[in-house]
Amino acid sequence: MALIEVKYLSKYYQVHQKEPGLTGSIRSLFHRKYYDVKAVDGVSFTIDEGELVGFIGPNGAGKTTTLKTLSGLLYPTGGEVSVLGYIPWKRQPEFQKQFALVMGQKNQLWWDLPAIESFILNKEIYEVPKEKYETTLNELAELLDVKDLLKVQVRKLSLGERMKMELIAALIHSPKVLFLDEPTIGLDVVAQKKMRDFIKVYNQKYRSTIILTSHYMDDVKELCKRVIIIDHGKVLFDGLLEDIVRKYADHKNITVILDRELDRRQIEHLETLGGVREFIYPKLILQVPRENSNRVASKLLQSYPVADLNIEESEIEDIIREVFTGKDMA
Amino acid sequence: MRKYLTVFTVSWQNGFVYRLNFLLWRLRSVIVIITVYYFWDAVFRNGGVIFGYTRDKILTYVFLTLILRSLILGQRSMDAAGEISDGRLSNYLLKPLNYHFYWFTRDLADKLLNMAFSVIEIILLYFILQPPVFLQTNIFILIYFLLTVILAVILNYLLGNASSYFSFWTPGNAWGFWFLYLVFQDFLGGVAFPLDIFPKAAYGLIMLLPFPYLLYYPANIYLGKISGADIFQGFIIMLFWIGIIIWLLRQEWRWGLKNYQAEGR
Repeated sequence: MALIEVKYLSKYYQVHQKEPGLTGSIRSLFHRKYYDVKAVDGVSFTIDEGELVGFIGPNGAGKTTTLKTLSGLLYPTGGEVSVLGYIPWKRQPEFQKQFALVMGQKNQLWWDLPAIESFILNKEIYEVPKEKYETTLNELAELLDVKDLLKVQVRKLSLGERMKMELIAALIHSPKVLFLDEPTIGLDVVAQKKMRDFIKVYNQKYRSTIILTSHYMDDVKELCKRVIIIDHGKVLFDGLLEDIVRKYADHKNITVILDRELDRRQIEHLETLGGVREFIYPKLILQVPRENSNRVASKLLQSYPVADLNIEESEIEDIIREVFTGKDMA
Repeated sequence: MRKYLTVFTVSWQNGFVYRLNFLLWRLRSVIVIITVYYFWDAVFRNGGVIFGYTRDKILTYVFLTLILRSLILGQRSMDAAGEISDGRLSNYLLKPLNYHFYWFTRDLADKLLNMAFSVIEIILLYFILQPPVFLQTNIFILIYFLLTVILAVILNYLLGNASSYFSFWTPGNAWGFWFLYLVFQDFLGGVAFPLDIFPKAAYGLIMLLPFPYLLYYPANIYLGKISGADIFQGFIIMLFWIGIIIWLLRQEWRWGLKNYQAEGR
């Protein structure tokens, strides 16, 4: 059963433009030029129970706007949305008790009080029974390894610790649907990894449905089977992550470590074999069409001083970049 | 409504974090009381009746409005304007929580905390200054006085939030509306001086506005200066404004949320 259904969702913002400088400021006091920004422009998708979907796209692609609409913070300009069978922007309490939105850049915790006070407040707001609250809190604090920080003033916590507390605050009512917007932003590599592990476990253990946006491809690679790529408010790709690789990575990279310097003829001949992506002696990277990779590799072995050779799929980052730089995906 | 009770206790805890701040705030209110007291004491040095007030009554008015101020006018909900402007409002919109009740509860927590301290201060000051105060003994007047105080708390909350909610349209500019409201409180609400020192015609007009019912009206009910039909008229006007502003708030909230962009998030 589809838990989340989005049909032709669009959200336009009206923004006004100000000419630079003081004269521009004065002019904009009297006369403002407005224009529409199409933050989301006809987006459709469905998500089933228990899925963990990655939402990727550059800044301003419309990811956050979509999540805000699914959470009921924004009224859409057009289209239909149903989450758990509810229309989000009606903000019914029965709906609100079943989902959570976590934003990496903002916080809901009371800054001057220990995190536990914010948890207690959320427990009351979401009307979580006492026993349920205690088991949930215990489990989450254990998983995130913050048991001895619960009574420390939030302002004294590090960013990573605070982010974990934010997660607990958002999960204290055991939401069925979870929207995570850049949950790892600003965290160091170790903390990012821990956060990822937690999301993975949480998804599996509680069968919760999760939409995750992130700038870090590592997050997506490790967590999501399915991705939705969005740019300029439109969906460019919706499917399995491995499908993108198969479908759009029509090239492979051949990395060669050379024995000795190449002569001029050999260098010129390289161009006929494939695209030279990098050539700093002794390392050479060639990009070749998928179907030619074996032939080119054997040719390299035959007529070049090869010490080592490797054929690799393109990096996910590269593929995604290619998707955004205008290759028609439809 | 246990959730609002928890909002209340968390508010108090938050208030206690900044002990020094709180202490200085209380010190300020004591200094204001002493200054205002000596000012009016000097005006009435030679006795007599000015603007219809005797020395006893004006000093009681001053003392009473100072207590009532912390109860009726003290409020934190001006922070709502900031929350709407910078997108923190989103936190509340996601939850099964009524934003208006939330801030009303936080205001109430703040008021009662300040009130508790000001009662102690007033008792101390009473023994130090030994002012001749007027004690109202009519039980009906006292009950009606209490009712007007409760209504005034509600009225002030509504007016303040109506100002804050302009943030939906002019993010960051709602302070302008707040400032205007504070000026109205001071000059038309009876904070700076009792309103009956205005000329009769002006006084009549002012009493049709919501502001006099914040402080001036309850204080004068206590002093027994308002009686008969004026009591009834005042009560009706108060209820009328509360109704109007509730309606206005609901419109602001409804249209404001359509305009809200959850920015900075």
